[in-house]
Order: sequence, then structure tokens, then C-alpha cells
Amino acid sequence: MKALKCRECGREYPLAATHVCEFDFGPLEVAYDYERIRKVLTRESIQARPQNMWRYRELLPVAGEPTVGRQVGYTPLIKADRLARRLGIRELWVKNDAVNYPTLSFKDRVVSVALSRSVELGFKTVACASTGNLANSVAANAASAGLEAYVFIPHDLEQGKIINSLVYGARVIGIKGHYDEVNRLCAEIAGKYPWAFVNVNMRPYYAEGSKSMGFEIQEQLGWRIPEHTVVCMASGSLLTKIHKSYQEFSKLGIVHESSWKIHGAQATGCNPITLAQKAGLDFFKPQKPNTIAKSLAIGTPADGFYALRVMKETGGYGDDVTDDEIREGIRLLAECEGVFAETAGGVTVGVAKKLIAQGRIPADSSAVLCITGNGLKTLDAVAGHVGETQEIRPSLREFEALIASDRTPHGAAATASR
Amino acid sequence: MRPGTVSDLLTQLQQRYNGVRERLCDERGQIRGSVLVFVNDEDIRFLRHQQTELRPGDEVSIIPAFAGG
Repeated sequence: MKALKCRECGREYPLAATHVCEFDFGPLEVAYDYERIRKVLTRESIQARPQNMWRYRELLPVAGEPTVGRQVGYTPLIKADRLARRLGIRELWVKNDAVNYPTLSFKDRVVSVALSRSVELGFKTVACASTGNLANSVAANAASAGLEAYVFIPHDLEQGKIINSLVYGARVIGIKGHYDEVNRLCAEIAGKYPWAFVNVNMRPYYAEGSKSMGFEIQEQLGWRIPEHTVVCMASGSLLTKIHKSYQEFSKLGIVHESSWKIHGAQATGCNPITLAQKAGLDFFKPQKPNTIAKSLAIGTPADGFYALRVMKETGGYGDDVTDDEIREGIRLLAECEGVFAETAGGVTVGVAKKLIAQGRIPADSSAVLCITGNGLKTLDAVAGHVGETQEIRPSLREFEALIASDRTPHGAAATASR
Repeated sequence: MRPGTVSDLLTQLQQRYNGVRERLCDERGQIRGSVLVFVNDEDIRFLRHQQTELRPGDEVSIIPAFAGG
């Protein structure tokens, strides 16, 4: 990395803990010296390194060796033949960050970069504003690095996510409001306290960690860029960084030049970006979220503008799904591929299903779905919608009577059939 | 600061701190997309944008938009 650069006006700044341009408040992004990187980062040098996200080190903004999250990433890329048949597409892959290490979401990627860099910059306390997964990841990774952590969340998040932050000893502050209010408060706190807020003053470094998901996808596909990628959007940052990862590998000659489309997925109850995309607009209108996909419930997405631009430039589409369609998406992925994703994953599968049905992802093409978090974290969302256990006494006769009847394991609310 | 609208506030800020207006607003006088303005914790885009009325005791926050999760 060589500097921080404003995405709006191009002004450059030193590589410190700062995230906005002093002139026009545009976001700062890490700029790299690609000519130098090209000499060092090749397929061979990558393959010689351990199987974690740091095999792409030169494209991640940490000056020395990473000190936090050294085992993160290199999650499975699953060839999803059964789901492909169900959705009606020739070839489908699932990038499974539901099993990312250590906190079962893609956030470990961005947090390990942010915290490694924070340690380099001398911070002792780290923090974040979060819809859940980021808080879990900051809490866990901070604990492993001996850093103090404050995580700020909407007070009514899923129990799983709350416990999953408290257990690491982090200070968990529940704000009586929705995420956008949490975010605003954190911007104010970050301006006042000398803490490393991973998604505020450390945001330029933090955001780059998402590229590792895209690098892995390309490597695991045999060094190529997928024709279609479907990415769920909260702030929209992940989608823009997947795009950047495809651009960087192309630019460095690590993969061949090709064209690609990136599609964005949201929940209908919080769809500022996809609504704008469908209307052909370049700007979104802020919303007040109302969806079971709490991890995506950001009504004023910080990267919404740039995500719209990526979809437009690549010819990708945006779409959104209802709460019921989200649950269906979770079930489909679980029943077809044995992967239990959280609500954001249900959003991704649900939107992919729609885009394929609409022909926007053609039936004879190949697509990758980015699954960002584990279903164990959003049990509330599917409780009551996955059928029930069937209880019997420990009697062989009762069991045989049970299976002799016509009932499917999902009882009266049977949905997707095998 | 004397009450009025958000637009009046920006004018007063400019009078006190020369150059601030051009950082917060573009050439057409619209608040930049990279800047968010809140009155008592409510985004002014949910209120009346720059015509949002301010009363004594109101708290106005001006923060960068491209920040946060």
C-alpha cells in the first residue's frame, strides 16, 4: 500500500487512522503500488503460502506481518449441483463464509485487517458499530489480541449475536434505535476518543479485507473470474470490494481478462440500494429498515452509491426478497447443499432464484453466491418455519406407525419438496 | 446560533468560519452526498432537507456519510 486516496477528488493522505477527505468528506480508499506488487504476487507465490486470507498479503493494507486473524479465510467454495438444478441454472457455486474462522461470518476478514493495522498504529482499544456479525468478530479477535473492545449494536439484535459478543469479554453497548443511529453515535464517539473504530476511522483498511473473499473465489475456481456473482448488501461495501478483487487480479495478470456481472441482493424491508437500481437511479433514498434480515438492516448504506455504480458498470442487477422468501432461501440452501446460512444468506439465495427465473442470470451460465454468515446466529428468524420434531415413546411399533403415515418431516407446513 | 432553518444555519456557519460552506455544499448549494445532517438525531432527508426549521435547544450533527458499516 502506498497512500490513502479520496474516491471523489483523488487527494492523497498518509496511511493513518483517517477515513474522510478533508476537502469534500469523500471516502478514503487504500491505494497500492501495483507495479511493485506484480513482481511479487503470482499464482506460484500465492500457492506456496498457507491456506488463509493472507496468501494475498500484498493486496491487503497491513505494513508488516499480520498479528490478528492469521487463520482467517480460505473457506470452502462448494459446487452446488443440487441447488443449481432446483434454481434452474447450469452451474452454481457457493462461497461458504458461514464457516469462516473464528466467528462464522465474512466479517473476520475485514476485522483481521483492521485490527492488525490498528496494532501497527499503536491503538489499545478497538470498537465498531454493528448489526451483529461485526460485533462478534471484533469482540473475538480483540480478545485473542489482548485489545480492549467496545461494540455498539441496536439493542434488539438476535440473542445469538448478543451472547456471541458478550462471551469474549467485550463491552457491548445496546443502542435504543436502529443501526443508522448506532452508526451516527459511533461517528461522534470516534471523533472524540482515541479508539480504533474498525468501520469508522479505520474503515479504509477494514474494507479492503473483503477483497480476500473475491481472491479466494477466483483461485478456487481455477484462476478465473465467475460470469455472475450474487452478493448481499448492507452498506454495499462487500459488493464493491468483490468487484475490486476481480479488477486487481485482472490488472496483475493473475487471471485472464474477462467480463463479469455482479448482482446485489437486499431484503424488501430494507432495500435502498436495490430499489434505486431497479429504478435506474444513481442515488438511493434513505429508509427505516423493517426486515428479519437484521444483518442487512442499514437504511443509509455508506457504500450504496458505489455499489450502484458497480452494478451499472458490470451490467448486473439488484433485487430484493420478502421475509418469507428469505426463509425459503435459507431452507433451499440447507436442504440442497447442507449449508445453514443466516438471513443474509437466505437473501442471497432468494435473490439469485429471482434473477435466474427472470433470465437476468441466464439459465446456461455459471454463478457464485457469496454466503456471508452462519444460520446458528439467526435462529429466531427460522424458528417455527422449519417444521417440528415428531415425538414418540421409545417403542418400535410407534415408530413404524409414524413412518408408515404420509407425513413429511416438515409436517403440515411442508414447503420445498426433495 | 440564531434559530431559523438548516439553510440559515449553514449561512451563519459560513459567516463565522469562512470556507466551510464550500466543504459542505456543492456548486448548486446542495449539501454534498458525502455529508449527513441530523437535527435532534433525525436525518434531515426525512424532515424538510435544508428547509427544516430549527428551534432553540435543537442539536444539529453534521457527519460524513461514507462511514460506518
